[in-house]
Amino acid sequence: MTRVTGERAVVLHTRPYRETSMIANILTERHGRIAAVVRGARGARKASSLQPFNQLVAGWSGRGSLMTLTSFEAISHPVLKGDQMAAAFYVAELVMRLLAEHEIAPRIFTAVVWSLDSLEAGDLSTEVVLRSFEKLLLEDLGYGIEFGQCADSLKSIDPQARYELIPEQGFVAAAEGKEGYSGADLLAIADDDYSAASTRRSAKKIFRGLLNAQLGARPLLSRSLLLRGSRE
Amino acid sequence: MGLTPLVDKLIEAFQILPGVGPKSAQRMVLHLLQRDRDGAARLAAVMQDALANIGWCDACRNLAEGDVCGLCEDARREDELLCVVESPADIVAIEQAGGYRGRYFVLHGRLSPIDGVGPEELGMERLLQRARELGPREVIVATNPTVEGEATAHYVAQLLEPHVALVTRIAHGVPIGGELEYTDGGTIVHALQGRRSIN
Repeated sequence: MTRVTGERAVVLHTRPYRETSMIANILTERHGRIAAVVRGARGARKASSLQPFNQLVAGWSGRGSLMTLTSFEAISHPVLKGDQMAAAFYVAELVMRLLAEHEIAPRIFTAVVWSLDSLEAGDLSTEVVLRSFEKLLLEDLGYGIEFGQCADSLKSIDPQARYELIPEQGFVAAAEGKEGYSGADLLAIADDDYSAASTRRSAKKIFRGLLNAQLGARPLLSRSLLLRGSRE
Repeated sequence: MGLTPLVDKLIEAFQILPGVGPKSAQRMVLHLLQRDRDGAARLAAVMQDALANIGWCDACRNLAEGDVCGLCEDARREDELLCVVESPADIVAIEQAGGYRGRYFVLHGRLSPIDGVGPEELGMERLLQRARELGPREVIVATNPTVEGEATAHYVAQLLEPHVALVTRIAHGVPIGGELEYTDGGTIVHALQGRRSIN
């Protein structure tokens, strides 16, 4: 029997359950992602607290996979507009799809909170927030790759040279006639510096490839929320 | 459970209704079989008739008998306004409230990527076509004030803005007769953001 109280959490997703209840998927700071039944949650007041992307202080109890949410209070109600909201759905969908239930992931929790706060504040572009999040998520799940070092020669990446990505290994010098990625962009990604447009383009392509390898055949639907898809 | 197999089957069939568990299903079935067989026959006949003849309106996806629903056929309604809602129940709510005389479009859901509901499932292409046919002055997006409802509204706005002069969203705020003290934080945040000049 698990019993937890006063834990910080972010709502990723909710769905109706029976007549008046809900099942909420929340990402918690110290207990990973959990699914919990919330009884009588369809009234406006409770439903408002449990809107996706809200931050909560929550408590739950139960055994096995499905918990019961025993207490919750929203401590933030982000107001996201347009593409920021589509980006938030994308962040939530990635976590739902790639992070197993009950797998403890405090860094991913911090990254999700940071992403949602940054999307709402709007001082970083949506694209930069998403690239930073994708990089940390991949690293934390163990699918990260080394951006600063060549995978076969083990030398530092040369900003002047071009590299290609070998899945599950890393970057190696690009074969003759292959376009690959510029060393300068890879070094910028290693430093989380997305100021150059070419870095953002390369990062988008690299992370999308790495994520798709983990997601399998079922595509991420939140990508389709952005009509002007290139802006993601 | 002890009566006849057919009674058990009927009790089970009644449990598809929302809010109906084994106990209430049993009460309904016994009532129909013991006390109101005429009513039961009427229910069965109407049910069959409804299933055979009620579909979705070709124009707005509301429930309709025949190709087009009554609201779309009604020539007195204004083509100038088009209201986008999540479900036919929302049309009923707006019609009962009164004050709206325009047209509707029903999405039958809201965008929810994690549940596998994307733009195609909601007939967004049909909505675009409908907006082009009617040429409304304004499209009012009346999806629910939930995160998914907002995402849907944003998508509809992106889709229609090149073709319609004005795409608006219904206001969210403190309910009439409500008290701020007892209103939840999310609603107050929206109410403050959506404030407007008094005069």
